[in-house]
Amino acid sequence: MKKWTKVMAVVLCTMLFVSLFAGCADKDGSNGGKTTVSFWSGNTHSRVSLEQIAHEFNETIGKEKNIYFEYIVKEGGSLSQAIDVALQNGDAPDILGTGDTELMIANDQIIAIDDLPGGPELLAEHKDHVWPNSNIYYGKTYTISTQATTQGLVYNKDMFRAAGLVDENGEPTPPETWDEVREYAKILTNTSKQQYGIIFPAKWGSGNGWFNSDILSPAMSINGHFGYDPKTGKYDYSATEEIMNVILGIKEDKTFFPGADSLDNDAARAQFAAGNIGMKFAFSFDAGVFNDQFKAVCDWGVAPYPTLDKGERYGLRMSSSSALGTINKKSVDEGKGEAIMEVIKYLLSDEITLRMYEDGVGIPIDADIIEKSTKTDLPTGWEDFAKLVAISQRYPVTPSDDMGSELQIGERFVNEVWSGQKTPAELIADCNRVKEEAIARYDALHPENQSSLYIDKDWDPLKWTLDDWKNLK
Amino acid sequence: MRNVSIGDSLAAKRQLSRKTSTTLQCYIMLALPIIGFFVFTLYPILWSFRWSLFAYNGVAHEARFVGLDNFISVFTKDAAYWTSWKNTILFAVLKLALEIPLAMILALILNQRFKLTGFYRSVYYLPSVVSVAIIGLVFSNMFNYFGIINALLQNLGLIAEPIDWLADREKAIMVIVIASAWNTFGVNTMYILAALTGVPREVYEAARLDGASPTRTFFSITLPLIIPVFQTVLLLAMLGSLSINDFILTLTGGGPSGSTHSVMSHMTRQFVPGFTENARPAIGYGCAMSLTTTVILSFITVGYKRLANYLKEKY
Repeated sequence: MKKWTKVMAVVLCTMLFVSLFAGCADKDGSNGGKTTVSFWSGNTHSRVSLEQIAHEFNETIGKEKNIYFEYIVKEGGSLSQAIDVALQNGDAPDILGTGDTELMIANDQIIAIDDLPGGPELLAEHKDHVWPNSNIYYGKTYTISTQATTQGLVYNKDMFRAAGLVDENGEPTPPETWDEVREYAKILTNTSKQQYGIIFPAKWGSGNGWFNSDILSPAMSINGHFGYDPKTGKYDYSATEEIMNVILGIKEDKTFFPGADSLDNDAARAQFAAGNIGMKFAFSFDAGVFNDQFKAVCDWGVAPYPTLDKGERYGLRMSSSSALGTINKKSVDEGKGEAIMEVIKYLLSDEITLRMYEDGVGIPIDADIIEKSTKTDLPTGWEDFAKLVAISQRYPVTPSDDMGSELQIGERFVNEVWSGQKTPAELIADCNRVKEEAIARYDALHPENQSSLYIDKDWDPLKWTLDDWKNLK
Repeated sequence: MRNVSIGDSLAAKRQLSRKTSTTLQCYIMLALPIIGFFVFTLYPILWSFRWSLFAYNGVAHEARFVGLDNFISVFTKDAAYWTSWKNTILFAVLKLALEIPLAMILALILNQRFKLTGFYRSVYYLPSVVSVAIIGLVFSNMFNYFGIINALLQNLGLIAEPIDWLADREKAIMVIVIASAWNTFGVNTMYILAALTGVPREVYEAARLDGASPTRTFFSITLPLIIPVFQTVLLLAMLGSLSINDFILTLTGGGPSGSTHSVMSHMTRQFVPGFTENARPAIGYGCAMSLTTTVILSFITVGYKRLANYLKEKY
């Protein structure tokens, strides 16, 4: 027995000893002598497309330039945390799919594209695809945004047809003004069938997610900005007042899905997909949600945000995003700068941007690229969300502020206006003041990053009309 | 004589060596929790205290020293924080009022010797092993407008139309209290049951022979004998109730209209990166708030202990 115990002890110790070398695999540059460029992403939706794109790179440019592009999707957990840990351990990928850019800059963990070989030339090519506090920090560019997220109204075509909200060709006619939204919500609501005109995820982001999606974003087509007016350098939420009044009117009419206070956006999306809801405000990534995650059982379509009247309006709110992430400084210090640049140029090229659009992965921020697409069997809603790019505008950059204990306007809307304690006008006046104070507080503590740097007197938002949209369709 | 003295000396050395070895083992065993205390308790408290003196949003080079401004703001400008305290105390009172008597009654029943007591003990303990987030989601679904509770009440004819349980502050608080009490009553039942099993049966026999009623027996014999354990159970239950957080976040998200936020859920929602909607939460301010909360909870704990000792002596 003692002999067997000793044998077991030796075997276990050997196993433990061998496992110590598990972390010593040569991860870097040893794919048959090629330089490996690794990219971690958390986007499972784009996995198939990006893996194929990476494979094609490896068969073409990769073979020619001796580079191996390794695209890895990190599942089951926060990619941001995985990258944090990997950066601490020194085994982070070469391209980081997410992360707090400012923090990584402060920790000297990432490098600007300006400082890469061929970086300035690439930036000149994409000079319209970079924005301060999103891509540019402290005068240098860390990412390039060639993709966009558009926003609009998704509507249940089946319910619209059943309610007679159609044109002369029998095609459903989504609302074009906020008054029509309230009117249509009444027409579409049938409590005996558990059908409701519209759904409000009031719990989303403690109200901030809901407010930004359903009120502040549509307000951009009324006043041309997203709360912060770059021409005056001040916050002005006045364009949201009418929208808030309409939403309160819908609440009074009881034509919204009940239980709004306990609904977050996932639950609201699931309800829309179940075919009970006439209208919901949504983002372009919701096309993937309604085609895959919560597969819609109804026929649905996409329309621009409504506005106050049918005349000319400002561009819809659009945000920018990048097909890649930031660059690991350590990788460049180890001599992989040129290889990383080849992968970056490939991923940001018009061909790959168009390819990702046709694969349903990302919408190009350039409407011209969308027009080049000849694919007809795109996922439902994807093409319509993409067409919104032509009548959308990236929201203006906002200065930093110090809100302290003050709540954001979205949460205050839910707490104070939705609950009936205050009127929209009272809330707007107070929130404008709070934001001014928050900016002043930040300016006082950070003289090197004054809010005056963000004033853009030449801000000239895009304008469009409903005819422009109809021509696109 | 000389051999005996060498022998004694060797024995003394061996004894000293054993004592040293035992002492060393004790220190090594204590080292882990002590290191854990320093790393996971003391260091975060000191970290929190440091940043409470700064306007800090997570980016170190943007931090600016503001002294006690954050603490002053907590006491003078943050109405939402003090409202969350009112909610927290209300939760704690309602939850304890429901949970403790229920736990006591169940413990008294389980203390009787009847079949399947083991099964019931397991069943009552089970809710405490389920994740709080899961319980919150399940109760949120159950009390949904189209959920099973409304369906049941409508089928029984108790209500004509569904109730929007989470759209009304009082009803939302009631749902949270029920869910939270359901989660923890089993643990308290087990604690009280353990205390009850320590009461000698002969005492009950003597009381029965003297003609004491069950109620008299409970208040004059059972309760005084389990008071030391019961006080600790009550203290733990009270602190657990005052720290309620996960239920609020998963069930109501602080709604409706932020009216059900507890102190912990308010701080989590506003200042903890990853939970808040703010891209740059005021972490320094959150640290000041959390330290203030710690001090208040400490006062409550000390106050409770003093009251308990006073009642113990008096009773």
